Amino acid sequence: MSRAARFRRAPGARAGLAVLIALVLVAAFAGLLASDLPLACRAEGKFYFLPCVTRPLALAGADNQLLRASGAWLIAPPIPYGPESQHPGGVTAVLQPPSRAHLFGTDDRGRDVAARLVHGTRVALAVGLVAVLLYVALGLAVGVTAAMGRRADLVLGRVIEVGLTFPTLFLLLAIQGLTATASVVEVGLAIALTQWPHVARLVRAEALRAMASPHVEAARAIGASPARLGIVHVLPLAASPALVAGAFGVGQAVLFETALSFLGFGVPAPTASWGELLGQAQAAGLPLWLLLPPTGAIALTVVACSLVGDGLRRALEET
Amino acid sequence: MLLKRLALIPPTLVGITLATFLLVHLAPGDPATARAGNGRGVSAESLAAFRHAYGLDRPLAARYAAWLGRSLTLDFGDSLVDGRPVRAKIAEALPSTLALALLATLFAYGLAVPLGCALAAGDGRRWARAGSAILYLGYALPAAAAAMLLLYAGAPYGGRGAGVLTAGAACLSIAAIVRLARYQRGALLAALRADYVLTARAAGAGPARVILRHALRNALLPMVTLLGAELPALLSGSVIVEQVFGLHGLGWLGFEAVLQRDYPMLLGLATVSAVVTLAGVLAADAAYGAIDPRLREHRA
Repeated sequence: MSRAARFRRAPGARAGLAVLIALVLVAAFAGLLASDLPLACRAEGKFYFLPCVTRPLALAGADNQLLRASGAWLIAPPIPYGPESQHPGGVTAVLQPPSRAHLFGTDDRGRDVAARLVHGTRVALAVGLVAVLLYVALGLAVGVTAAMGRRADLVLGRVIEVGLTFPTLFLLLAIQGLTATASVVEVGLAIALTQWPHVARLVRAEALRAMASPHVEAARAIGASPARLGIVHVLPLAASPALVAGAFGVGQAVLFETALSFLGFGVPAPTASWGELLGQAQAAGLPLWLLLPPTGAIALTVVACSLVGDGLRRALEET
Repeated sequence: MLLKRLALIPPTLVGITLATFLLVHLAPGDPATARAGNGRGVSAESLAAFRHAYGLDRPLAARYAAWLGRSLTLDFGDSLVDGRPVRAKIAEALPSTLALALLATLFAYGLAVPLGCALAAGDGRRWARAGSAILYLGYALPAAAAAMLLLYAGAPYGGRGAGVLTAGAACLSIAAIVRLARYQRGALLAALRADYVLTARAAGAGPARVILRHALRNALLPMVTLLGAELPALLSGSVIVEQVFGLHGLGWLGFEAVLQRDYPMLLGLATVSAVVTLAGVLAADAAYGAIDPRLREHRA
């Protein structure tokens, strides 16, 4: 059975992949799905195409609600609010429960929860991706290097074991709290710094097995350098557990980002993120419309990542 | 194996404290300016005096060496926030977190072992698949959301009562239950494929007897060592759970210390959490040695 076929046979792997693709699309087109400006409109005799993207100066201060009230023709986005607009249509409605105007209600500054949820997808996926790319690369490098020689293993093996005993969130909080800025890349980097030992441990075990295999011995016999041995002959064999760990890792990173934003150490305000919505839910006395939508979004993302990871594991398993 | 673990203690302690130390001291901003707010109304001389009083004007290596020396006698210095000894503040907070972690470990193993067995016994059946799907969901639930949902459902808040500790531990254990149950299922499935199980089946043992009497014994062993891997995760989770349930434990202290840039507090907490984790790892290894007769024979 081919690898693709084994992936498809894993329960839920295809559904997980479909959900992930949908989430990527939501993140990519968040600006079209939820915006304070219309997709197209005619205001004061002028026609604007996608003002939600181009944000023309002439429409500064306007939004979907004001334009409609002034009698302009417009096609509004599915969610006619921006993630950061606090007074849509000039009205401030703080902590409103779900209604026809606001499907998931509003938050403590009168911002639409659905709009913040859609735009929060960007932060979640971006942090997950940055973190996983960084720590899988680091884990691969350290794991393979450790397997290459006895002395390297003595040092790196210990470093990995020590790294595994760090309570991640303590370290993450310390990194986030003590450094000044908190961009998406920085949050991803902080998560990567705490998570790479897990990948390195898996890769090291796999690379040690590869080092003992005949093809590595043959390569060494014909004079391959250690670098060539590691990169050409060991790395490809050790990469599959890292790939699987990476798929699960995106979900894990989303959970860590949620925890950080919940505690107020994630991406800075007013950027929308799922954890920040959960934090608001706690501060506002647990209104369900602030609690359930981000919880659902996070759970959906993490489950999708786990299903894809499981499918990858089955596809890459030697049978 | 125990010896190897014992040899791991010094590098782990030094590693964790050194990493925290560097992080704390290389980060922009320092506690003197943080304490003086944005610097208004505080003269340069008094800032310098503050730095000198806490040794903040000495070189990094000297400060780390001095700190390490003092911390060997459990003297972590005074908190920069209220001037009370770090040791006293940690001693106050430790019982809550230990109770949380112990209860969560109990919940995790108490639920994960039977759950993993049931899922392995019903492998391939529809209900077992549904059970695995629910495990996925449990893993995907953020700790903060789980905690708030429990609060919403009427769980108590604050204090040190049994109710709030149980609710907190329940939240804390969710992720551990999922990881352990999945592992238990895999280990038991592997054990069920072994030859001695085939022999037992051939000799007429029923499915319950095969699992409980023959396969589970071997499948339980690796579960014990997993405790070492779960402890750091439990301590991590305590930050969130204590925040939501208003428990004043180590996680709460750590969160406050980061907010206030309370360096001695952060270093003390890093050390204590490393010690707690290592103690758990060692206990797990010792238990493993005690349970598995093969290891005992090796040592003899």
